[in-house]
Amino acid sequence: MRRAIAFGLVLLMTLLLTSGCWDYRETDQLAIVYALGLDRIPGSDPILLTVQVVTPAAGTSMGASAGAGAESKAFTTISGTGKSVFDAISRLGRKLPRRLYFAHTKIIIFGRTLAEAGLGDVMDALNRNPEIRRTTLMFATDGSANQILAKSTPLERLPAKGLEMIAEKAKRNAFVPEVNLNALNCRFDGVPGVAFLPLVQLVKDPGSPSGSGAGENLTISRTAIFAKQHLVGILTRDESKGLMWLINRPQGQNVTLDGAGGAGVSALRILAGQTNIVPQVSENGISMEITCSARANVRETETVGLDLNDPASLKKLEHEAEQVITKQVETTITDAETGLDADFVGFGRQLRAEYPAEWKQVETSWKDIFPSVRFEVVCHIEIVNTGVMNNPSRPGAGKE
Amino acid sequence: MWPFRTRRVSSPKSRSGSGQAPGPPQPPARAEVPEQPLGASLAQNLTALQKIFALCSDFTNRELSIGRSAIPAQLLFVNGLTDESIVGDSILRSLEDMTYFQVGVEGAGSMTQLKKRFLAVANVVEIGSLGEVSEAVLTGSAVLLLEGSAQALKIGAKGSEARNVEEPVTEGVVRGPREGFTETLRLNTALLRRKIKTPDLKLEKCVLGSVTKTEVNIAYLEKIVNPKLVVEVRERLARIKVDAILESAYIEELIEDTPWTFLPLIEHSERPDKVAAEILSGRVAIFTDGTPFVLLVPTMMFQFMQSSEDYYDRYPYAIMIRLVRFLFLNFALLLPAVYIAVTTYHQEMIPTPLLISITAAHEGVPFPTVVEVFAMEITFEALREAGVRLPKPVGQAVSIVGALVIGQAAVEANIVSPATVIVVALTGISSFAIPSYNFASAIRLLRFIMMILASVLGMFGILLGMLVFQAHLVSLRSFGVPYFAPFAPFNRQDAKDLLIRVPWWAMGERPRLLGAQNRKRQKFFLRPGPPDESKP
Repeated sequence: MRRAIAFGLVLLMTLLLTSGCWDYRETDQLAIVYALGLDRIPGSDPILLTVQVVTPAAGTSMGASAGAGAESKAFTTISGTGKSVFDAISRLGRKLPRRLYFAHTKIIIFGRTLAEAGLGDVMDALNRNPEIRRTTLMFATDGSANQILAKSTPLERLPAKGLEMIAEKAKRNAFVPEVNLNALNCRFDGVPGVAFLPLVQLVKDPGSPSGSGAGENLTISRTAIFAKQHLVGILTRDESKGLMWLINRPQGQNVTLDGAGGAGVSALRILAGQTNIVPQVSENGISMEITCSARANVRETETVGLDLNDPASLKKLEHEAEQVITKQVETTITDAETGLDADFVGFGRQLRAEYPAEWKQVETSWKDIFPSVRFEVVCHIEIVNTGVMNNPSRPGAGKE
Repeated sequence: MWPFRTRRVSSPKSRSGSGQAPGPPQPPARAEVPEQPLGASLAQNLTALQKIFALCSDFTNRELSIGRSAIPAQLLFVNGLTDESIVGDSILRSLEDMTYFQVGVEGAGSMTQLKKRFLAVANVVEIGSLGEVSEAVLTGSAVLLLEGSAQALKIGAKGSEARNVEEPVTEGVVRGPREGFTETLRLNTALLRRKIKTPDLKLEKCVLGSVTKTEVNIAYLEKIVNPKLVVEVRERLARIKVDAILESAYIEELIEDTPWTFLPLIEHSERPDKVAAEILSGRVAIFTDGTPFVLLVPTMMFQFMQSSEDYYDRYPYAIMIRLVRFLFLNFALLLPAVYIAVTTYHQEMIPTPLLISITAAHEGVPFPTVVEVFAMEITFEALREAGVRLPKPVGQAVSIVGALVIGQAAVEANIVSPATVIVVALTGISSFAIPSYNFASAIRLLRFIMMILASVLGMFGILLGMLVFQAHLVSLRSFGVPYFAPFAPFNRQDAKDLLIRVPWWAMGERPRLLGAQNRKRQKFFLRPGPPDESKP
């Protein structure tokens, strides 16, 4: 009996010690990659991998050493090249004392060169890696990802975190969509294989002196369009806003009215909105009926003499907003049909959902049919709130 | 038999099926004192007793002469065990008074006469052997020997110094009775009897320990308790053949169902209100002389997570505090293990900002996280032990030095990371949030096992450990009642007083597994409200 217990204990210890500990790693053995950038460069090693690694010791103020002297950077940007993404990671790893750890990567940026050459190769590497999360935010840039990741942001110690927050704000104010790895996969694999990514740009502040670097900030206001995993074009700001309507995410969008009907500028904010795309198939071909409806409130108005107590003047504002939004959406669709020749507006998807049989017929030639699809945009805006006051705060305005 | 499967180690004798008759166990015979009857000669009896009590300086014999004919007599007692005022005022005074009565006490039946007519003491019994005399003297009675009589009188004069009824130290409450049991059995049973004023409350006496002769009382409510449970308790107590019972823990370990588990299978309490409440829900209490801790059987695990104050606080708060307690139970068991697992195996599970600060904190610390946590946990155990054992003023010094040295200096010297200190401190606080000290100790032990598993196998190890622990929990029984009840087996009625505590007007029934005989606790529909005006 005693021997049996001793034997069991030995077995248990062996089990614990031989099967355990193989993936043991301390946190100080890891280089936590917060953001990852991919570019394509000419030469035999075409992939340029840039990682923004958190420097943990600088993240906290340890004693007196951190406060004094030059402020240590909270991040390090390192790049390396390789024949493929994995090759670049392993080669970069040789330069670093710590293991590159991708489980906390929040941001992946594709440089313009890579985007134009096609994302196919790198998407496989990103999707196959178990450490990279499906919720990682994806971005494109019109320059190089390398440059973007080397740039620090105001207010945030980690630039990639700043970028993450800018993207979050862009989504909340509905001017650029937010796309994560999973959504990108779905767009690429789905019908009709067209995707869009928010575009990160380095822009110069108006007041800053010219010269490289200084006064440049990261911004997100436009959208990059991918067809068959290649970059085909970049939407303007207005087109991006139109896209937000077409993908049914207009909540939070600001609609600026230039006062064409009245005498001043007004702004509305969309509180809740919905877009319905209804395809119609007839002998004349395929047409789409797009209905945007939303409730909004007034954020700003400088219109002299406009009485917001009067439903008629609200109607006037509503009407003006409807025109602006309709125009935005129409421009976006026109650009998709004629300019970029890519169905990122979701017509194909909608057609497949509503008319599966007809879709089967046009599926192969959709690229040719799409530009000729007719469409009509109808917009309904209802102003439900004018803020905490009724009339413009302007001497004389709205009196009597 | 008791309806549940009982798993107890029975002695070889009872296993052979000799069939012990249920009933209060008789005290085992003392080998050293002969069961020799008393003789008629006072001198002989006294010599024999003096031989038994040779070198016992507290043994006292007082010479007397009784009655008109001045019959020689001896009053025997142990100094300090008897009440001076009873011996002096009641016994000696009444024996002295007899001198003026014209009544003789000579001859047979004199003892009966003495008992019936003269002794102004409540508790007087006739005994007839040397063994009985010595036992009576040792339990605090005075014994009167008379010339020419083969009988002796055992006169109850018990009254040694006892501690006052004080506030219980281990189970303090903000609201609730402030009295606690003491070391004196009779006082303890009186405290209970004062709460439960019914002859249904039985206090069966038995004596355990061949040398210590410790009196043990089995208390239960006859109309509520399952009679088979009482039989089981009697039998398990009758099994005990040890020389000494100095604390109820001796009994606890001798009557447990599973002797090799970490977890306490029998609850104890020093609060009369708690013992009364448990007896009222159908449990049996075992009082032991010489300790304020009363055993309560059968015990279910969730009792250790309940404080008597849960029933005195307003019930919404009681529910909240119970849920918080369960949260902290999990912290006490798992927090260091999860910390080890997550920081050394599963860094992807930590939110990014937290990982960055944990990494930054661990930067430059020379030890692996596992070593750090183990060292801190063991240091904490030492601090706790030091705080308990040392005299109160010194104990405070220990905690100050501990907090300063361990908490601050070690972190500033970069020997341990601040995150580890926070985890260990939170774990320490969590284990103090468990109301029962011995259950918390068991959890502390298990915590170390979990930490070893986590350091070797990560979250997988914790999962394995918890599976085994859960399987063990549901396999345990206390006096045949499932330890994990009323969760497994689940009972909806009993769940009213489990993770939550419903108000008193909703607790209509006694626990299903205990009060089988009389489940209805109170009238139903007791919820207070405005009077129904529609009815006259």
